Amino acid sequence: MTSSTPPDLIVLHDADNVATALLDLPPGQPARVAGIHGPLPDLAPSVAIRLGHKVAIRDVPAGELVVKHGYPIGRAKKDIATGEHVHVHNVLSLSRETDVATAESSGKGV
Amino acid sequence: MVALATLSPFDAALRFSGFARADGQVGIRNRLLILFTVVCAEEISRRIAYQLEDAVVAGWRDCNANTGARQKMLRLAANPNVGAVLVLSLGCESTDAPAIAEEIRATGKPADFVSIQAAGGTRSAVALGVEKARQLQQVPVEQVEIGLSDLIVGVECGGSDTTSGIAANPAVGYASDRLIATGGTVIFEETNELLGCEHSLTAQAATPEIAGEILAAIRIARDWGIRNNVRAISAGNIEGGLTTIEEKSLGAVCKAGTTPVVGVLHGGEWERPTRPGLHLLAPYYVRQEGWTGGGTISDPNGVTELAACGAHVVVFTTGRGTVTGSGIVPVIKVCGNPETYARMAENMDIDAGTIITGRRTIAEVGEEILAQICATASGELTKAEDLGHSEFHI
Repeated sequence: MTSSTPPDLIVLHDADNVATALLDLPPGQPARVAGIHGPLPDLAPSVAIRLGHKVAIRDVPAGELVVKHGYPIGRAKKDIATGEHVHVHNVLSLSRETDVATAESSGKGV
Repeated sequence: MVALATLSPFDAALRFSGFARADGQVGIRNRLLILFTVVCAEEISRRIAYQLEDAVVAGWRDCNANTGARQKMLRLAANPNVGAVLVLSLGCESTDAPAIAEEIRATGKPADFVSIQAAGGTRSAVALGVEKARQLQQVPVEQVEIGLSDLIVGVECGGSDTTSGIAANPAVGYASDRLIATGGTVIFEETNELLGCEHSLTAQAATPEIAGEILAAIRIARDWGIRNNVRAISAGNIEGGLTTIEEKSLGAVCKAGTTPVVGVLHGGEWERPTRPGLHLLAPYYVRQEGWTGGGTISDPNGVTELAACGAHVVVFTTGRGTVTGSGIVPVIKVCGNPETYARMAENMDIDAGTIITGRRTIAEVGEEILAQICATASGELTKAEDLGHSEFHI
């Protein structure tokens, strides 16, 4: 089931559409992806990805949920293509939709 | 969001011998709890415990009586792993020790009481305590067969680091989903780590009432966080790759798995789950402002709270390392950081750092956690038990 080489990216739940980088990854190079039950196909990030950052493992259209740990962690602000960096520039927190007080106390608009 | 794996016969078929209690619960340990009602009786309690097999010590140190402490002691005494209770009192503290012993006895659990002042000092109190404890331990206990689905499993984390959200917690989440698929029960807490998870947790709550209770617990945790300036997501978190508050929180919450929350337990009352499935233990201040234990954050406190809610076993994730154990509930340590595991292997039961090094998958480590729960329930000692760890916090 497992590969002997350390993965570059890890998917943390079967329902996820993002993977997390386990080390700094250069752009355009195929990266090894670990899934829940074994290796997934290699994926080349379109830009450099730093340790702990996320890459889309499938296309996420604008308005769709970004899913990590099997739960939504936010909503895509714009279309996100497979291999793209997923972060604050293209994801909006759902807590701003569901909890106005949180958004207000964070000092940012809803 | 629920994606349960198909059960293998391995988990469903396993049976182990447990200890039947008068209230219908079945324990996986048969511990005698020596419960002191003031710190003045703690030393004598320990001297009694040293002379006995399977005796553990916990108690309330303050001379002042405390409603919350009393309730937590009674609920700890009610834990199914506790076979009998010896209440140890100096004799003049404000807590009504004989009444506590009587209340425990009224539940059908063997219990007795020693007053150090009445016994006549150190030697006679120790001798009397040992004698009464041995009598309690001689009460016959019926052994019955139980399975994974009969267990209440607490999940907790402490000494977390960046590996927690990508190795140890996802593996425990996987195990939690599998456990619940077998008909088991899981309790998670640490409500301060649920900020931003309102959407996910309420969307799949079993009933609107439960959704409301989850929201209330998260709001209280958020307000507590704002007051204490320990909330939300920092610039450093974002620099490290965390995008939203829900993502940060889920790194911890994911150890509860992805099944719906079927019940909210109330800290302070320390209720036991009454149905199978995933339960959130809400902070004490939801109902009882000022009760002891509230807002206290430590590894022993979290484990004690889960024990008070009737957990048979606690699965505890860590990255930086922890040594905490409990005399009442076996604590299974899951370490996600390979370097920490190498350094503190004597304290760690499961090496989840292998997920990062590519030697094993999340599913494989999750299955190992389930196997470890079964082994622990069958009587195998956890590392913390073997090392004699018996931390508590009342």
